Amino acid sequence: MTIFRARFVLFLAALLIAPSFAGAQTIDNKLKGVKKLALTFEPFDADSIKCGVGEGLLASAMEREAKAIPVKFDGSVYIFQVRVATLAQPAICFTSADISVYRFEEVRLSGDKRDLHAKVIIWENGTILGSSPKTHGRDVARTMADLMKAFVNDWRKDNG
Amino acid sequence: MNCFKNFCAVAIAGLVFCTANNVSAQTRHGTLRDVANLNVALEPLDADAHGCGVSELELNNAVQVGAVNAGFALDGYDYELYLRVSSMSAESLCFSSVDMEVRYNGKLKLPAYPRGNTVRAVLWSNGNIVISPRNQHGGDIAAVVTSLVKGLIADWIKDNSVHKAG
Repeated sequence: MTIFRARFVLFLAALLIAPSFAGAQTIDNKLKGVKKLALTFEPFDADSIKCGVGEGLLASAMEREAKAIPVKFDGSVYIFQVRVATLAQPAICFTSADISVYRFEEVRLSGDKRDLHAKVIIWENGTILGSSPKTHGRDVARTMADLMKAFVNDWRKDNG
Repeated sequence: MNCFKNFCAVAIAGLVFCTANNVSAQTRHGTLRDVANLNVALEPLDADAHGCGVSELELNNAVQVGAVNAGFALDGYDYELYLRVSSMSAESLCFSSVDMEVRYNGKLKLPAYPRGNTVRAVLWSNGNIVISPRNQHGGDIAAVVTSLVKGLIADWIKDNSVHKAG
C-alpha cells in the first residue's frame, strides 16, 4: 500500500500536464497598436477555491510577465479575460484555463449586410492541467504566467 | 443552466463524477437573429481525447442529435458552429473541457487597420468541464455536446422570436 502511495505521489508529481495549448494567433498582427487592456477574471467557483486557485495568486503571476511590455492593464475597450474552471477530486484537481482578448463592437456582416453587437476576438490561448490539490493553485498560477508570456511574445511580434 | 443541472442529475445517477462551470451563453443583443446556416467545425482531437474514448464521429453525431428540429441548418458557410474538446487522463479518470461557439469570420476595423482586417466575431458561446471514468467518458462528452446544442437552439429561438415580434 505504501509503495502504491509512493507511486501515486510520484504519478501526481509528474501529472502537471498541459496537453494542448491552443494555437495563439498573430496572423495579420492583430495586437498591433493595442496598448490598454482591461484585465477581468470570470468568477471562481467553489472547486477552484477548494483547489487553491484564486484571483490574487493568478493576477500577481500574470502581472510579473506582463511588465515586459508597455501595455497597461487599467481599462480600455479591449478586454483581457481570464477564465478558469476547476473540478476537485480527492487526490487531484483539474483545471481548464483560457485567456481571450476581445472587444464588443458593432459588426457589419458582409454576407447578409446586417449589423450586430458581437465579441471580436483578437487573441486567445488556453490549456488544461491536473495536479495534486496541495500544489494546484501554484501550478495554475504558473500556467497562467506561461499563457501571459505567450501573449507578451505575440504582442512583441506584432509591435516589433 | 437547467440543461446543465439536468445533465448532472443524469450523470450522477450514472455514477459519473461531474461538475462544471458553464460559460454564460449570450443572447442579450439578439446576435443569433437570422443565423440560418451553420458549418460544423470540429477542432482536431489530440491523443488524450482519443484515449478517453472521444471521437470526431461521435461528436458530429452528438451535434446532429442536438440539432434535430433546430430552426437553423447545419449546411452553411456564412457562420460556423465551432466545437473544441480538450482532454487529459489520470489513471482511470478522464477530464475534458468542452467549448462551443457560433462564429462569424469577417473583415473588421482594428486599431492599426482602419480599413479592416479579417477577425473572428463570436455570436454565441457556451462550455462545460467534465470528469468521468475513462470507459464512459466518450458518451458523457457526447451528452454534454448535445446539451450545449440544445441550449444554443433555445437561445436561437429567443433571438428569432423577438425579431418576429418586433
